[in-house]
Amino acid sequence: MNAQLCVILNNAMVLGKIQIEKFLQKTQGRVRGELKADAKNRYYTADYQWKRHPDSPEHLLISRSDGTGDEVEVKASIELDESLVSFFGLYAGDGAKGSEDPNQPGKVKPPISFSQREPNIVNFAVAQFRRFFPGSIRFVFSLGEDSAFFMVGEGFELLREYYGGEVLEVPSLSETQPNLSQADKIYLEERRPNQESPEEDLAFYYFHKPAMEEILKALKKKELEQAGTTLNPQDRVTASLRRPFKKGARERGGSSRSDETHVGGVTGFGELFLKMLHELEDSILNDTQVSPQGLIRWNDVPSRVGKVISIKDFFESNNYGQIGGERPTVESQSSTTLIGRWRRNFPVILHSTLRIDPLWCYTSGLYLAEGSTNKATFFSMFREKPKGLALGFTSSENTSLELILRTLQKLFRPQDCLIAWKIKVGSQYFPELVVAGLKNAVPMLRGGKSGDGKLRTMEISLALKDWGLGVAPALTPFADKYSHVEPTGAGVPRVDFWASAILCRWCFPLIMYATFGGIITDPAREFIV
Amino acid sequence: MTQHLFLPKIKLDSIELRPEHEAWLKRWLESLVSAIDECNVASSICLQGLLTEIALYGDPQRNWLEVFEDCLTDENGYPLAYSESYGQRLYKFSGQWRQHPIHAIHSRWWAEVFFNGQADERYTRLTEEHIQPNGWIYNPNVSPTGLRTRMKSEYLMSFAMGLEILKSHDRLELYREQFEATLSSQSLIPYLSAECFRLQALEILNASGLVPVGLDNILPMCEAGEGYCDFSMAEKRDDYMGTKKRSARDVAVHSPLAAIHAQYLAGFCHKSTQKAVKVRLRNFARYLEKNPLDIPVFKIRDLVDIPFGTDVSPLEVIAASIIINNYGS
Repeated sequence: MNAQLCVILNNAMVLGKIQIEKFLQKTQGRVRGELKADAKNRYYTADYQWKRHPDSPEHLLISRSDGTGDEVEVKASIELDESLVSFFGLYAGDGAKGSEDPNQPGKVKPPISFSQREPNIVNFAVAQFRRFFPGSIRFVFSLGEDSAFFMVGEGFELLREYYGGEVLEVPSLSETQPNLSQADKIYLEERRPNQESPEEDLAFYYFHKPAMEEILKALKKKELEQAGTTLNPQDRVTASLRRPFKKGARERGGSSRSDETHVGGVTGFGELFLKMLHELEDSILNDTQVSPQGLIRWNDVPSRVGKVISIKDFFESNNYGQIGGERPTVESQSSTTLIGRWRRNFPVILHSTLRIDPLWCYTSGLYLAEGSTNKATFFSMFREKPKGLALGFTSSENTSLELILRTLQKLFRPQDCLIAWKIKVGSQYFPELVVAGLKNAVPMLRGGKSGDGKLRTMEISLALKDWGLGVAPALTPFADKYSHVEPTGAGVPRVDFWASAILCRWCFPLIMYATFGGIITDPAREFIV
Repeated sequence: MTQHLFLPKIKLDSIELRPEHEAWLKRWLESLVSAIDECNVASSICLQGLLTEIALYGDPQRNWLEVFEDCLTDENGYPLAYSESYGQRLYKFSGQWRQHPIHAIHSRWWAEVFFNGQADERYTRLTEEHIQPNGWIYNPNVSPTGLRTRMKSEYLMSFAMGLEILKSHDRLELYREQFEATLSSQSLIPYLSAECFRLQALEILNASGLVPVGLDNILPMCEAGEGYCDFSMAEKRDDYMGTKKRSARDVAVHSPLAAIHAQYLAGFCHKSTQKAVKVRLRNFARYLEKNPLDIPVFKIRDLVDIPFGTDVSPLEVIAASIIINNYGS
């Protein structure tokens, strides 16, 4: 996949449109919305002014009414095809939703930014952003890492290479950084079990910071280049380093990498972009032709738009219908269902046709971003036999879970779409689990070597079951498939379900087809693996 | 024996239950009838059932040893935490219901001591088998995670329970030095239950002099709602990062059980702390007199209408009556 990605092939289908101008006229430029994520209810608001582009009447120039931010060029009405709908799903998973304004609790300021490392997905997102914002936007590709990564192992070798063979001895903290910032002082006061000397680690951080940043930037540039992402002159690559063990590395040499793609030149547009995403999601969830504020209009109700494909034909002849050179066989077919089988696998009952409708496209992107499947597998599976295929999804919100479950049921029988579900609880909520145990006269017994396995105390798992069903009513039909609580490293409590891995070979090609089918003709050759 | 480690220093047969609490506990016991009949039980339920009947009637109304024997004993005579049928309450837990954690051994031991005046020696042997090289007492076959990723209140609870069992058959002296060393190497823990189990373990060892320094600081930190919470929301820290957790949207809730633990811990604190705890518990008792079943549950951030965990439970209800008995008008 390369820069040509933004050329949309003829087989893309227009499913609806984003009526930006109509929406702005109707709302008089007022954008208001609620953001429900991570068990938080927040809101966003922005007022916009707009005008027709003097040289291109199809386009609008939109800016904040208060004069802050950029003047952003977008089409007055943007056609929604499969890949753009999928992109919104991807953004729902990996996109920035904004950070809270400290002066206005509950109000978020959303930037336009995307957190993803997988190079094909980054490339896809960049192409979609460029398509969406035809004016002068720029990208800042940022690689974040814990500086503990450079202390031993792979990171240390990179450092050694950078210095030409020998890593210099780190002077004392008072020599390296005579004037400590407030953040440094807080860092030095914090205690970590694996840390012998915060002073020495902080000295390491300051002494090697320029070298570590250069190494990370070079690494990111190389990855972008390999993926075929074209950098324009105004695009930048940056590195963001954290003090040792501050970002998530738990031991020397441990990595806690994060990749961000920030979109520049669109400052102040985040609220409108988020509104598009929410209106699109809402109309799909409720299957309405027009979204609540009229920003999205589908060509018909969403469940009735989109290409209908024959599952048999798709897996017999489509470039996306093969995995590692193999294709499944259809053992029998009726007017509504078929029984298909991949070599070495059990037969599966599927619907014989599938409409690539907005629901399928949106959740394809969402699953690519947030599904529990290894991202690289999606791109390599067309070329080589995949390993460790798994199908699962985690969320703290009902909407995402419901959409994914509904999507799977478009292809499979409801009883095949979920094996079991559990509640994952991050360490910050372990004290609450302990109390749930005490109230029920039991301790909290963790499973697995590192404590992140199935909780061994049934009473605590059972005490949380209703919470899971309250958060995700979509799982009510599967209430009896509740398995356990799983303590995890971090994060708000969330619901996680998984389906049989045998379904992966059937639905992953279709997910990829919905997202990339209009762009990539031959996935076995064109994706970067 | 009418005292249990969950409710330290409380004689269960001399509690004057509030009518609301009495009614709640009776309803709870009634809700167990068919589950017990079908052997769909956990040792924790049997223990709570037994404690509840002692609190309600002064004596058990059911022979709980029969329930333990019929439903919660494996083919080798070892106490189980769950019956096979209870194990099916969770999907795909069927391979894991057969477990012998220390708290299940202790529940069985406690019931036998209560009914028979003494318990079979096999519980002591079983407990000795679970003394780990690091000095703590837990069953790694049930929970194989290392000490660093175990919950402190879990291994301190198991430890105190193990000590109580060992003491009953005069096996404590064999391990005393190791146990004292283990306990005193554990730094102060800002969780009421964890410190409560530690101090009870020290009392069993007659080693109260090894009480950690700084206990007085924990109690004010754990003040929450009208009484106490087991932990301080503001002091939640990441063990690895050393940083405070993001808990701005979460609210600590009061718990009568935590208040009982605070009352017990205060006994090891300075007079000024004891006085402050007493004042707070008096206020809590007055609150519980007016709102006897206001025993709230945690909520996660803004999901305020979805309870996270358990609110009212037999131990909480009994604890609420104790607080009213001890500090109410």
